[in-house]
This record gives sequence, structure tokens and C-alpha cells, in this order.
Amino acid sequence: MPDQPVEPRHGPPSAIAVARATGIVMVVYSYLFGLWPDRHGLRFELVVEAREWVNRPLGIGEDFGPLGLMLLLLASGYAATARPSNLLGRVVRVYLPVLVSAIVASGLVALGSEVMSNAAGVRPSATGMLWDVIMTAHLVPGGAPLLALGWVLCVELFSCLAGALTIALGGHAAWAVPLGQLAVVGGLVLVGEPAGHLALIISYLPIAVIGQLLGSYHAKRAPGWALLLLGFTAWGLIAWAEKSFAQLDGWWYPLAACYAVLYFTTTSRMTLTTWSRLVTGWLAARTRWLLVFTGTVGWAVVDVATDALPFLLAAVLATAAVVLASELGLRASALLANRHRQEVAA
Amino acid sequence: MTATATAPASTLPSPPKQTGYLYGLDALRVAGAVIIAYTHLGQWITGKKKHWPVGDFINDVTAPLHIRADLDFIGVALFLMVSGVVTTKVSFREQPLDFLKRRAIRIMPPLWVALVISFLIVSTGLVKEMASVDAATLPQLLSNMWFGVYFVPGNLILLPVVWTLLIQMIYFVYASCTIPLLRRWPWLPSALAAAIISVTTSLLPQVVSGTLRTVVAFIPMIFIGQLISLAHSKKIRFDVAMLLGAIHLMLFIRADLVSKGLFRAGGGYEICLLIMVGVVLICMTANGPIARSAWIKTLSKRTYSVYLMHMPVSYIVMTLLDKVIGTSWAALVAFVAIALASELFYRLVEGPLDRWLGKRSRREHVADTRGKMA
Repeated sequence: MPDQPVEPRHGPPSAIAVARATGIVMVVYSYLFGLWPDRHGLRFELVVEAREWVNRPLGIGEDFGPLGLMLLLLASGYAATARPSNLLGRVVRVYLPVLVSAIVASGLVALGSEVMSNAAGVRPSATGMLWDVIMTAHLVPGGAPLLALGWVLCVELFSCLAGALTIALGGHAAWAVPLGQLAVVGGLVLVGEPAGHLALIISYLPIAVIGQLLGSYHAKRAPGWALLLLGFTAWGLIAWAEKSFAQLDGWWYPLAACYAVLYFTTTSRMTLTTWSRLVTGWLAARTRWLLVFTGTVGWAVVDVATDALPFLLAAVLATAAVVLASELGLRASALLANRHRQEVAA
Repeated sequence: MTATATAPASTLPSPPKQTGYLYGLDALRVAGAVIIAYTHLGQWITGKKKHWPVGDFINDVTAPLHIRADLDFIGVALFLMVSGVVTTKVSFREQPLDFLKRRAIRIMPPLWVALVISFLIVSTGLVKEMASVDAATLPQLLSNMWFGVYFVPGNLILLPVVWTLLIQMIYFVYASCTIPLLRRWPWLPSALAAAIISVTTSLLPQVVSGTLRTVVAFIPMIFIGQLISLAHSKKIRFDVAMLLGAIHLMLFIRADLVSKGLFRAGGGYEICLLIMVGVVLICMTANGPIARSAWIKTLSKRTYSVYLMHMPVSYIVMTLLDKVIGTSWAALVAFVAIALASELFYRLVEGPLDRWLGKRSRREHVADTRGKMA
């Protein structure tokens, strides 16, 4: 509601943290507790009941997964434009989990474990891992990515660069840069059904653009009506992509996008308790690591653990493994960053 | 958990500091009234297997959201939630009986006038889409005036929108009875209501789609409004409000899943409700030039008149003009007719009643003050 800025605006960190924390919980639930049993022919009653009573009536598909991913991208777009930050640091924070998890995934597959790769029967190869590492595995037709969710960080990286460009150029860039991205998306939809996972990227990029628009609105970089208009255009493109691409038909992404924006806008206007701030902050700091390790470490642990444990326990164990791996990843990256700072200072 | 013990840890934004008046609610009321009028007009048109460009455009744009066609149910959800928000605020400063009397006086006399007008229009036989000519008899009119039509088998409805007023009146009775609880434990009335709704839904036979089942199916929307109001005014914590709100949402979903013949085919009710919860949360604190404009203020006072008048007026206009000037032009004329009829209704019925209530309230206030001084 750009013309109704009634409340004192809270700083973006709480809004971003809440969106990221909620989003990543949804993603972990969706892929470990929802998708894994489906792919392995198991019936997990808790998820079945949730689908019956929540997901289907509210139109939230794929066990909250797309909604979670949209919240993550919305938050990243918002963070990229709401206030200036070190671009190199942000790029490293997005890219490092991709690099590490690509190596981990290759190792797991080499050891015979299963990872959540979309392509069945994927085998690690130097070229395949390279595609993942340079974040093009999802863009190349016929590509077989090991990181099934790597494309999300690809979109985030693109959004980070676009946000940095918006801030660096200033002035009309607040609407021109998002408009440019939307024009590219529109052009790609016009071209027709893309091969591979490009359809997903085309469908999710507009939500990151909406995040950028919300960030620009927060920073008062452009008139509210212009940003609102672009926001509706972005949503329209999601709807258009759904209508145009057969592989997106029936996923109800425009509705998930609507829910994501409403949730983000609502929660960005509330203040948090110390306890909630701690929890959301903790989860938000580890979001990217949790995202990449869900489909690799988590998936592999469930696969192994279900041989000995009931599925629920196996999934809980896998979640714990994902959290542990993410903690290690975050701490290692923080250590590296500190060393780099010390070297630069020296 | 008391009002004082529930210091807001995480809360919705505070109301504007100057007056505390929520201008956004006025805008939401206006939106709700326009949408309801549009929905019924659209349903008249689609009921005749006809199309009009505005309706087709809106349906095309909203189709990806999988909400109901012709924006159906959105206006009802808005109205009921806003009603919950507004009346919860006033229930903290009015005595239980006064609270109920005021709501009844605001709702019932205009409803009676609207029913008489509907009676006259229905008796012409020109609005069969709204009510059967058989409903235009004196006993049926009297039955409609006291909601008897919803309880006595065989009675016929004169004005189809009245069911939501019945739900509101039942909520007001409950709210007035629970005002002492609300003031001491603000979370308790909605929690208690959730339990009552749940038990009632369980006990009623699933095939029954009677009035009681309708009430328990749709009344959770007003309680969601109540919880929004309590969280906004920091009477309860946001997480408590969210938990209770989720329970009421689940009760609504449950009603849809277990009821037969209560919800119309096509689904989308829950999606509409959830989207509208977000819209109310975001827009209720709107304080910009649009929300504060004189237009919105003026229109918001006439929303109840629009609610009561739009159906008989627009349906008779559509019946008379559709074949003469075409569907689109007839719809345009119908909207103008709704505006004129609502203005007339407001000036002749609702406005005078409002002024009378205002005077009465001031007199009581003065008497109270004198009594205290004495």
C-alpha cells in the first residue's frame, strides 16, 4: 500500500529474518517430510492430513515448498535494495553454499547415497559438477544438476546483482532495473516453453523483483504508485508463465506469490519478541546452507536412516543433520571471512 | 492470562497517534460494499449465461488466484471481519446491554425498511432471480423481519443477503454476553467460541445444511476480526492471536470439508478468506490520502445502505433494461441506480437513525455525568 505509509517503518532485518525463517522451515518440511516419502512410495500420515486440511483448501501446493522458496526470494530481493551493503560479501554468502554443497553432493553420490536430484540416475562427473559450481546446470538444456535447489540461489544471486545496480545507479534505476528484469522475463515467456529448469527460474524471478520493489519502497527510492504498478506486472508475469508453460500448469504459483507478498508485508510491520528475534535470526543466518543441504545431506541421511528407523525419526534425524551441516558451513565461512579480513588489514 | 499480564511482545502496528481512528477500515468497508454489489450483479449476468467485458476482465485477472468467480465471497469475508474488528473496539467502552441495543438499533430498523422495499419489488414478479413471487406475502414479510425465515421450514427468503446479518446478530448477542470476560481475559471469548463451534459442528448431522450449521460455518470470520482487533490494540499477544485465528480458520475449513449443500460448488472460499485476512491486516492501518479522503468517509457511512439496497434495485434494473440496451449498459445503469437508491436510503432511513442514536448517546452521557457529580 504505497500511498498509505501510516506506521513507523521497522528496520528490514526483522522482516527479512521472519520471511527467511518461515521460508526455510517450509522448504525443509516440504522436501524432507513431504517429497521424500512421495518419491519412495511411503505414506506419511502427518503430511497426508496436513494436505487434506491445510494445503488443498488453501491452495498451497507441494507441501508449502514453493511458498517457502518465494519467501526466501522475496526477502533476498528486499535485502538487496532496502539498504546498501558490501556486494562482494553478499555474493560470497550466496555462492559459497553452492560451491560447498556441489562438492558434498558429488561425494555423496560417489559413495552411493541418494541426493534430491531431479534427474533420475545422475552420476557425478567432473563436467556435471562444474555445471553446478558455475550455476548453469539448471540453465543448460538436458543438464543434470546434482543440486536440485541450486537454481534458487542462482535467482538470488541475480537479484543481489540487480539490487546492487539499483542502489549504485540511483534515481530512476529503482523502477528501471526491475522493469528491465521483468522485460527479460516477459521476453522469455513470449519465446515459449523452455527446456529444463529455466521455466522455474522465469517463474520465480518476478517474486525476487517484487522483493526489490518492496525494498525500494522502504528506502523511498521511487513513487509508490510506480512500484505498485511494477509489482502487479511482476505478478502478472508469474500468472502468464503458468499459463504459457505446460510444466508449470497446475502448480498455482501466482497464488503462492500472493500469499508470500501478503505474509511478508504483514510481518514486516510487526515487532518481534526477544525470543522470536533470536529464533528467526538464527534460522535466517543459516538459510542458504539449510537450503542446499536439505536436498543433499538431508536427503542422503533419510535414505540411509529409513533402513533402520521409522520414517518420522529418520526425517527428524535428517533435519538435525542438515542443521549440523549448516552450522558447520556457516562457522567455516565466518572463519574464512575473518582470516580474509585480517590478511587485508595486515 | 489477563489484559495487563499480556504485554505485547510482538504486536501489529499501533493505531495512528493523533486520534486512534482506523481510516483503513472505512476504505475496506467501501471496498466490501462495492465488491458485494459487483458480485451479485455479476451473478445475475452469468446466471443468464451472458457476459460483459468488465466481468470477463476481472474473472480473467483473478483466475490465477483460484478465488471464486465474480469476486464471490470476498465482500462477505471483508464485511464480517471488519465488523469483528470494529465492534470489538467498542465493546471495551460500552456496557453489555447498551452494546447489544446499539447494534440491534443500527441493524434492524433499516433492515425492516429494506425488506418492505424488497417486498414491493418482489411482488412485481420482476426479480425472480432474487426471490420468488410467493415470498411477497405479509406472513413471509413478518417472518423475514425477525429472521424467522431461517428457522421455520417452508418460509421463503425475500432478501438473500440477510443471512450475514443473522450471523452478525448472533455474534453480537454472544459478544455482549462475554464482554465481562473479554475485558478480563481478552483471549477467552474467542477461545470459548471456537470450542462451541467445534462441538456444534461435530454434533450436527453432516447432511443437515440448516441455519445453525450456516452460522457455525461462517461465524469464525467475525472472530478472526475480533482477534485482529485485540492484537492491534495490544490486548493480547500477536502469537496468541495468530494461534486462535488459525483455529478459527481451521474451523471454517472443517465446516467446508464436512458440510454438504452449505458451500456452493467451485471451492475457493478458504483462499478468499486467507487473502482477505492479509488484506485487512495490511490495509486497516492505512492512513494515506485515499483512506482519509472525504469520499471514503462519505461512502463508508453508506455501506450498509448499499448492502441492503443493491440487490433489489440492480436486479430490477437489469430485468427491465438488459434486453433493451444490452448487458453492459444495463449493468452501468444498475450501478448508478444502486448509488442513487443507497443515497436515498441513507438520507431517509440510516442517517436519521444515526443522528437519533448520537443524540441519545449524548443525553445519556450528560445524565451519567450529572449523576456522578450528584
